Amino acid sequence: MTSPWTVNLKSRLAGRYSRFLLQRIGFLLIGNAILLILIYMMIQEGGSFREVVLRAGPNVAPTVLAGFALTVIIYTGAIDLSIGSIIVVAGTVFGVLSAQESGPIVAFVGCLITTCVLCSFNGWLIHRLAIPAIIVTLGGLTFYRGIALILADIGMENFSGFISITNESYQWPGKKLAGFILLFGTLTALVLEWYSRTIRHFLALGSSEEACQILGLNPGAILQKAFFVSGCFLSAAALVYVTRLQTIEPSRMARGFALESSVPWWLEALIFSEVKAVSSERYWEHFFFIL
Amino acid sequence: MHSEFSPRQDTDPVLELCGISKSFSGVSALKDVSFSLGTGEVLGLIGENGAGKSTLIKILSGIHSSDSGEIRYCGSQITVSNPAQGLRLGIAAIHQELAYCGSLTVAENMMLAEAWPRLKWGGVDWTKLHGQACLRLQEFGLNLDTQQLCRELSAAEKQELSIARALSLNAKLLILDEPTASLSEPEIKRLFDRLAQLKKQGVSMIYVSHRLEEVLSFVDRICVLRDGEQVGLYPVEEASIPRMIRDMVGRPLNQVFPRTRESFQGTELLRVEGLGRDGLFQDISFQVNAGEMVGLGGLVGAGRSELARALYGLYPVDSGAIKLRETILNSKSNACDRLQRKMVYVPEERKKQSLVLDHTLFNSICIGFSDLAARFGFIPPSFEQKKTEHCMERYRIRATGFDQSVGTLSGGNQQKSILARWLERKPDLIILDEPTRGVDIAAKMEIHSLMDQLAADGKGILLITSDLQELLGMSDRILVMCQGRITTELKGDRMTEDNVILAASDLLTPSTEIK
Repeated sequence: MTSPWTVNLKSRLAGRYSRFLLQRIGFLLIGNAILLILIYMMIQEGGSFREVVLRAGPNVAPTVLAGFALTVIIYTGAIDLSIGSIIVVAGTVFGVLSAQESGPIVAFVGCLITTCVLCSFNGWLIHRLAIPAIIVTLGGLTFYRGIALILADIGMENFSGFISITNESYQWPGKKLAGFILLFGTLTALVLEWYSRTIRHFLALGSSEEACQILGLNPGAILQKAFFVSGCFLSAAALVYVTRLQTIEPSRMARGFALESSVPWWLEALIFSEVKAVSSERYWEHFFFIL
Repeated sequence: MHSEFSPRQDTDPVLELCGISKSFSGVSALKDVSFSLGTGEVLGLIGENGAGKSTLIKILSGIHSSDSGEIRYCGSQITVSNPAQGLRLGIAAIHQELAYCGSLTVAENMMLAEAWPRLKWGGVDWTKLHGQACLRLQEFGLNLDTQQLCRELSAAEKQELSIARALSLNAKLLILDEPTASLSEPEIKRLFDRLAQLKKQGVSMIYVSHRLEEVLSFVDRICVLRDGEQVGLYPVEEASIPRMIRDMVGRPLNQVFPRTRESFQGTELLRVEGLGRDGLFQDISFQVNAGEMVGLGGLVGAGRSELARALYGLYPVDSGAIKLRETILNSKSNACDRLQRKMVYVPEERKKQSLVLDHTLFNSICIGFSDLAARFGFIPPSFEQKKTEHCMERYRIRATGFDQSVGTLSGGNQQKSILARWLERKPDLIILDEPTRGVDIAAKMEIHSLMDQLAADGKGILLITSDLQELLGMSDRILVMCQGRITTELKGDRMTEDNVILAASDLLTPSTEIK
């Protein structure tokens, strides 16, 4: 007997994704599987295949989670170029709290809340100022890094440009939980993509703001919600990113992070000559990126 | 309240407007508009493009707010601050510019602002959602795949989807802005049947259309707007097309299909033989001669627009040949090549396929022909300046200046700017897809005159239109497409409305033909 899940999966695959796209997904899955086999065959040193894959988790997790965060925003037709700088602020808050020995949980929560709040603030600013997201977040790129330096200077005595994290209990999420956080983030993204109306509203906004308004939706509220949801993913990315570091350097860390997180889109553009980035298909690229 | 006409005595007023005014940046768009609407009454709102109809509709549906005046709905004074509130009150509007989200499926668009069915744990129940959407579409007589993305629908299907969505909201007041603009005759009939049912159920309607015959046949009263002012409000019994045109334009107009040219056929410009593309059209053969206007009729979805796009090199073809003058176009010939060979194409959806709405009028017009004057990649500025001035005068484009954003022009002026852009290239063959859709009567007549003049000057024109009167009034002969094939060619006395409709459904036989 076929389970409802299988039926639903089949109908969703057949209904939502074109044959062409399913072929591409199949091609990429097979291609990635072949790559993994090749890597497996070539690994001679550095531990077993399983260990190598597990070690990759902390490195890959922030980029992929930030990729999900960017995806949510790109659905709405906007962009956030300041995600790297937001992580810097979150990292600085985390660093300051750890230097003040506030306790790991407080530092983690501080990092999560800072990221989420700044992301939501970006959304609010874009909506209120009615300025294109690319302009606002390009400004945020340097602004937030400056804020991070000021925070570090205020929060720490004799701040010398970096904050050392010496207590290993502060590095627990980045070093021990990265894989789980990535898995949880991925599952959340999947559930949101397949079963959430909110994500479809984000896509609707990306398709036509005017249509959303005419059809009775509130485009401003949708945009803000998108930045909040994005902030949630980004906060997970920030937590993994900053807790795997030994030193927090506000002026140097997370440079080019936004670019790195958008690699799946560049891959898409390169491989398929398609740059229309507003489409639910994009989650798939992230899965391949994880692989 | 300056209404010269009281609400119908036999019905309770659902809507009363008293002195509604609105201006944008100091320019008055609506001045002191007042009327009322009874239960189950249909008010025809007419006027030229830019007369203020869309502004009034946007005020009623909550997209704009009025500067002054009062709106009373079901006896209470209301302020509709956003469309969501309007929908909650039972005011549903179908706007001229179709509101749909291309990246979402038909089902999602159908139920976008409503609660979606949920699974036990809170996730969206897609099966139920599609089921509900399918049911609503079927109630309207629409057979669309609810899983299909909206951007893949044709213009008519999008229009029908918008209408079906609005009708499914159980509105008390339905505002329809040019609902038949992209529909073919059977679809229009289906829509009117449905609207008549709603009228019987007591739904009041404000019906906006440039098709005056439609207005006369369907509405109870007519409200005429000109330059934002209400210049007439009278029952349909007192209305006639000449009166309506005079009220709208401020002067009487000559016939809408001004045919001045003699029938003349010059050399062959275009020959199509056995053209086919899988799933879109098959075995298409016809020719267009110089000085000839060939109409391409058929139902929406018959493959007319797809054929036009293929002729212009926008779709590759699987079989057949296209011969332009003496040259057989090969598979490498694209739209640029067609353009160089003096073929131009004006697509059906002007805002999406023809214009960059943020462009200035100057840029929008010049983009069509600047390359003709370019030397070593440089374009003399004076050339563009003079040419744009000439275009605005010749094609009677009404705008505040060169710098006006083309998106803010009325539909008629947008269409004239597109025609100016292409016609200044001095093409030999012109493909026009729905050239007067959503265009007011005066602009329509100007466009028709222009088409007539072009044919008289020896240009070949392939005219695709869902407006039967336009098809019959302008064409020298009509090719009718049905399910991707040209099934019938009608000439002379055989060119009648009935024959076109029968041929479009592949029902035209010697026994059914009406002469």
